[in-house]
Order: sequence, then structure tokens, then C-alpha cells
Amino acid sequence: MQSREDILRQAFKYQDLLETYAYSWLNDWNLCKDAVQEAFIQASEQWQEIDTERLLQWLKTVTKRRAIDIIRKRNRIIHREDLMNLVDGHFQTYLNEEMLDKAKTMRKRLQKCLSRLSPENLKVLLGFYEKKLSTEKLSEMVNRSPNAVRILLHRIRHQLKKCISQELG
Amino acid sequence: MDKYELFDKYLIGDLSDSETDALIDLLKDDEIGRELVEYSLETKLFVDCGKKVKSRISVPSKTGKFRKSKKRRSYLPVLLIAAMMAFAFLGMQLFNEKNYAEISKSSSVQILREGGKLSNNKSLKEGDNVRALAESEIKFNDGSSIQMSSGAEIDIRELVLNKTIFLHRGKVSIHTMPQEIGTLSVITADSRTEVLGTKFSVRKLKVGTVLEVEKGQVRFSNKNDSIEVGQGSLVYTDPKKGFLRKNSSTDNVHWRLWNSLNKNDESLHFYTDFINGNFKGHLLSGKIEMDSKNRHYLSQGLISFPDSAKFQVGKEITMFGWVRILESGVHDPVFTKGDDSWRFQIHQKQPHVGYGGVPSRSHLDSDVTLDLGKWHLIHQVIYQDRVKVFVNGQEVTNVEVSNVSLNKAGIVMIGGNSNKKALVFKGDIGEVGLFNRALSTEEVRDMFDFGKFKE
Repeated sequence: MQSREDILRQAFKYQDLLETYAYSWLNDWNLCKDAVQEAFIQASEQWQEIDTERLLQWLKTVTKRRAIDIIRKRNRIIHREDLMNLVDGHFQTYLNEEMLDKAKTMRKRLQKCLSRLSPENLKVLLGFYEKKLSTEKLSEMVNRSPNAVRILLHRIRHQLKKCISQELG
Repeated sequence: MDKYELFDKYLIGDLSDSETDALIDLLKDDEIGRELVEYSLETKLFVDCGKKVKSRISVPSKTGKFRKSKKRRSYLPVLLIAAMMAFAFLGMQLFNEKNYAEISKSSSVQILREGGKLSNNKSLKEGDNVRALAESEIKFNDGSSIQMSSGAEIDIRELVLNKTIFLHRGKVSIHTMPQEIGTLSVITADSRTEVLGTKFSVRKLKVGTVLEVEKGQVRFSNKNDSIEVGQGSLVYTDPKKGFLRKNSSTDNVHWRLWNSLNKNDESLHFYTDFINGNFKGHLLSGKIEMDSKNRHYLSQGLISFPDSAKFQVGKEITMFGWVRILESGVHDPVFTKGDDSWRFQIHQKQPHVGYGGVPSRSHLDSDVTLDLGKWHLIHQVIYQDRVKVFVNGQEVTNVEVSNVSLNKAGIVMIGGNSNKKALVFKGDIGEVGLFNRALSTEEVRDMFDFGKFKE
């Protein structure tokens, strides 16, 4: 039988996946970390009841509950319920071990690829996805049109993906 | 707008309604669903790693390269262990043993767990699917209980901190103790009912969900709204329209609303739609009026159906109709097939059921007296050996009978009786219909509940 530490160690490996999943509910990078943290705490308490073969599924279920608790406490729903149900179905299906392998590989390469971005491009990337600044706001910051910012974002993502695949190749 | 723009808007929480619709359409394709999951994961990694890279970049040097800031010793592992120890202690306090649930002894249920059927199992776990084969009960350690109607089906979604039940079909009535930790919720495909300490029932209809609160208060939500529902209230949610509250005044009942939900029921043999009905009726007297809510009704009139041969029914039927009596009369016909077959009449303000022909012209009167000038929904359910009468969803008569005969020849009439041509219903008839089966008590109640709501 696996010990609590074994189960927690395994659980921590899923952190990226779980935070992404929690984000689909919460739409906030800080809150999604809270939800996953609470799921880990629950795993540390109930480790003996967890079927280790289904650990990811268990963690997803608990993460979702904690995310919904947070939504309830804050009385805030970001997306429409019909969209959420559909998205949740895809996350339940595709957030799996295969995706975990992709995430691990990406993480290894990403730091190197991101450090190759210009400071301005990094600022745009984080401004949009982390701080959720509008393309209009970003366009003022980088002195380009909003449309140019949208194209720039697309190019940055493309560059990063290309860089990662080159690193892998 | 391409899918990546939609993905971006989704990720930053900036989708408009039309963009949400567009994304939903796209996501019906599993491959695009997988792409969104991957895109979300990439974005999360971009943000995480991007923040680290940014924090390590200081002022650009003259060479165009970036200096790395001095790496600081991280206290994160120590903090994490300390936090876990603290939360482990707190978690012990949080674990809610009161959510332990089991099936009561007298119950008859089928439990599906992880794809297999369980026999002789009384304790429930998260993920269980429970089908009530008869009236059944689930009891929680804290004294709360769930009564399941026969045929009701639920999933146990959560039993950890909260008690969460997903109702697929049928009705559950819930008596809860105050929830010290977590909540007790009943979810259906289109609603969520959250307990605030109370007694209530939730019924999943073919379309929509009905909540009735007997005691206390609950929170009822759907995709559009969330409201607190108090004692004695009944609320209906429609997946498209949002909430429709109970209307306590029977003067303003919306008695045509249910039609849109039941018209596809194959056992609905006949239903009056005075404009578009398949059965061709002829207005012989009186008028078809329209009220302020565009609802048609027959005002002190008579409609005859020459093609009455189509009204061949089985061994059990349910007649129903919305009626408003304006004057007390004797054997006033609402919906009849002559005097020798089924008859729905009002006799001295009381529902009067005819269920047979010669030699006895079997019939009975109900004990309840209807109010003049108010709309009432009457159901008359005829079995081979029993007749039940319901007024406004409540059973008022249930007696054993014999000599039931439902297919004798006769001309079908609304507001009249072809064998007693002098009789015309002295009032208004909103709608009438005939099911070729006996409706259950719950179905009768549902019809009335729908009829009580305003649009």
C-alpha cells in the first residue's frame, strides 16, 4: 500500500493540470491555485480512501468542488452554465496522463524559449493572459493598434510553440 | 472570429453572449474541445514560466542580453510543510461524518456503483446511482432524510463536506437538519436547489423543474438567476425562460401553459386547441373568447365533434379540463361522449363523473364544491374498478366502482351532452383533454403546478 507521502508526491505532479482545470471554472490564476491547494490538503487527509489508480480523477473532482465553493463564496460566475458544462466535459476527457506528459515536456523547454522573447513581447503576453488587460490597453502600452496587438499575441504563441518543438527536435 | 480568438476571450473571461454561442457550437466537436484544453494548459504554462523569466530579467545590458538577478533562497518548501500540518489538523475538524448516508430498511432501491449493481448494500458512496423501485428513503447521520418517489433516480454527487444530489427523474422530498458544515443541494439538468435548513421537494419534469418549500427557506438557481424561496412557495424553472413564480390567485391561472410540455405525450388522445386541433369541432352556440393574456376559452357555448368515432379509448382514461362555473346547474356537461360512455360534468357545483352506459349509466358525484367565478382544474381518472377525481391537483374522490364502459357510441361534445340537448355548461371552459391512460397523482399535480404559473 502506498504511503501518504507517495500519494501526495503523485498528486503534486498533477498540479499544472489541476490548476488549468480550476482556471476553467474560476478564471483567476490566484484563485485556481487556492482551489488546487485545498484539494491537496483534502488528499493529505483522506489519502487512505483514495483509489490510487484513479488519483487524477479524484483530484479533479475535489478541485472542481473547491472551485465551485470559491465561486459560491464570491457569488461570481464568469461563464455561462451551458458553456461550462461543455468545457467541463472536455476537461474531464482530455486532462489526462498524456496531457501531463506534454505539460512536463513544455515546462522544461518553455523557460528557455520565453527568455528568448523580447521584453516587450513578454510584457504583452503576460499583460493579456495574466493581467487580462484588454488589447486596447495593451496597444497604448506598446504603442501599436489593438489589431496589431492581437496579431502580435498570435505570433508570440506561434513562436513559442515553434521554439518548443525545435528544442524537442 | 477564429477559434483562437474565441479561446483567448474565453480564457480572459471576455466572451459576449453571441461569442459564447459560437464557442459552444465549436466545442461540440471533440477535437476542438481537446484543442481548448491544450490551449488552456499552454497558457497556464506561459503565464507561470513567463512570470519567472520576467522576475529574472533586470535592466538590459549594453550587449542586448539580459542579466539574471541574484537567485534567492526559497523558503517555499518549509512554508508548504508548515501549511500542510496546520491544514491537516484543521481538516480533521472539517471532515463531515454527518454526511454518512444509508438506505432505510423498508426501502426498495437499485444501486449502481462503478458500473455494477449492488445488492444488499445500505450505505451510499459518492458516485452511486440510486433508483427507487418503490417509495424509498435515504437517511443521513445528521438526521436529514431524502424521500424518493417510486421511479425517482438520483446520483450521489458529493458526500464529503456537502451533500449534493443530482436528480435525473421523479421527485425527491427532503427534510434537512441545519447544516453545520457544507450545504445540502439538489441539482437537476436546469436548476440547483440549495438548502438553508428546511423541508422541501424537488420534481424533475420533462421540461423544467418544480420546487415546493414546505418549511424554512432554500436557494433555487438556474443559469439565469438565483432566488431564495420561502415557506409555502412553489417555483418553477424553465430552461429557456428562467424563473416562473407561483401565482397564488386562481383567478389568474395560466391554464394553457402546460400544453406545450405535454402535447407530445402519445397517450394524450385529445386536447382542445380551439384553433388548431386535429379533431374538427363545430361551434354550435356560445362564443370562443380571448382573455387579456391571449388565452382562448369557450364561453357558455357548445362544440360538437362529428368524427366522434375517433374517440376510441382503452380500459383506463383521464379526462381533464379547466372550468369556471358562473351559475350552479344540474349535470352541466363539460366534456362528454353522450350519456352512455365517459362524461365529465358538473352537478350542483360538484365534479360529476360518468363512466358507463346501459343499464346503469354509472356515475358518481365528488364531495368537493367548486367556487363560482373561479377557474378550477378538474381531473377525472377512470380505471376499470376505480374512479378518482382531482381538483386543482388534489385528490378529492377515490372510490371503487364497477360496470365501467368507455366506448359506447355517442357524439363527443364540449359544453354539451348529445343525449341531453337542453343542457349547456353555464360557465367557461378553458381547455379540456383526454389521456388514453390513468395519469398518476404526481402527473396530475404537475399539470396543475404548470397551470398555476404566469409566463
